[in-house]
Amino acid sequence: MKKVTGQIKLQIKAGQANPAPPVGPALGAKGVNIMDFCKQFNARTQKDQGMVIPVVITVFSDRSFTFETKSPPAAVLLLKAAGIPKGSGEPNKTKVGKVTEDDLRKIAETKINDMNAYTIEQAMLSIAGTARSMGLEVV
Amino acid sequence: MTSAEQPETQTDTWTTVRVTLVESAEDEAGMRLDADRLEGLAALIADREGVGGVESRDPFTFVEGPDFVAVERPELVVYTTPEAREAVLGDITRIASMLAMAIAVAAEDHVGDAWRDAWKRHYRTLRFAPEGAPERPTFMTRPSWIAREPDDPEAELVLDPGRAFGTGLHESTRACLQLLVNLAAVPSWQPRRVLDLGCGSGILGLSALRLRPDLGGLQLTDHDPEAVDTSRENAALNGLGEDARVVAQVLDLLTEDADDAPGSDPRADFVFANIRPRVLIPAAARITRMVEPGGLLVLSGILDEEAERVRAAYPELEERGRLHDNDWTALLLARAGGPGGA
Repeated sequence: MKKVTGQIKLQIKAGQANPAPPVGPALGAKGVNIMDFCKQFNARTQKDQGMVIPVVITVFSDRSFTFETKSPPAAVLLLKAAGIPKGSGEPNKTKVGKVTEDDLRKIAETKINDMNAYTIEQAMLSIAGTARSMGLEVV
Repeated sequence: MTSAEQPETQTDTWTTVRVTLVESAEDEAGMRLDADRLEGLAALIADREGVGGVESRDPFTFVEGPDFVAVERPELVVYTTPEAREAVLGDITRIASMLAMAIAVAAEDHVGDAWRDAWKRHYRTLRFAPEGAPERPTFMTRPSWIAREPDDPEAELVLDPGRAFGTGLHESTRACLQLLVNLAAVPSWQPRRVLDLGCGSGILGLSALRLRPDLGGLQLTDHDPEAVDTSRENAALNGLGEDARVVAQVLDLLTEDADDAPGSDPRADFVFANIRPRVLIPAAARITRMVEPGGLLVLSGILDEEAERVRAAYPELEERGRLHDNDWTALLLARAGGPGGA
């Protein structure tokens, strides 16, 4: 209906969008009403407080916008499952940690709607691949 | 909180770190893969202390216009603070090495607060004059941060743009406002109730109330609960938040529920339906029933080439006018019977 001028793909922590730097300029400079976005995003992501959430904001030619939040990225869910505390430690290429089949299944269930997978098993395979690329061992 | 309450005099500082892949693919499929890998990196970086957020840019996030940065290859922009800059740079390098990604980083500190109001430059006051008297506007829409001028028309709607549709900048909304202003110039046009279907920001219904302040009732409906909330906020912004005549509610024109219970749909003698043919056509019979005998219906959100198909879906209504704005058409239809009409 309306012309799209662009998309802003952002990953921000749930419930913590703030109409101030550092992230405010990412939105403001592209014509998005920052206060309005932050209010909506924080309300919609309250239940995942602190978890990184990908959000895709579509900006139209009249500068109105819509946005869509996705499930937390597999990489973040894997680190959480492996018990690696965020913001601490030095991730190391080998033996960062371990995740179980059960972890993979739970993550697959969370993410299935955002993935190109028809079954939980397919989604688990893809997430296992991500885990290995991050140096996580699947046990 | 409105933008007007933001501190006006402060200088912001922030730091951006641009992350690119050292070896990036040339073709579209390769770039999509690069973009996916970078998104994984972005997720882990966004989780670190001191990072406000991570933006992914790729050749597909840019469409047009001066605000978006066109990039040839996928890249990340990490938003942080000058204080956290070194720690974040270290984190980015470590995480990339963990994911076996060869990256290049470029950090830049920024100072300034122009970004805060950057989005406002797209909005302006829109004045509407009735057909035939272009020099005498009778209505305007105004963003809250722009002050009224002495010769501005008395009737106005204050509207701050944001999510959902209907800032008045779009042709389909503008055409509806123009039809409304034309009607309002006819003193005998005195609708009792107004219904705004697909109200978005509420701009059309609220404007009708502004131009006919003695209206008996105004019903704003949308299938999107967020739009309904926005329309309530805009009613409040215009001092109509406590007005018992104004009702906003969720209504999906494509569900059968209301049709199963005849009489449950709202009805009015002036109805706006600024939606799209994919709703206007299948819901035509239902929308027609919502127009009281003798009442008027404005159909909009219609591309010129779609106009005849939409018109044909409303055979019971008589066409009273048609307005074109760029590639868009708005139709003014009337239902026979009863008093009123224009």
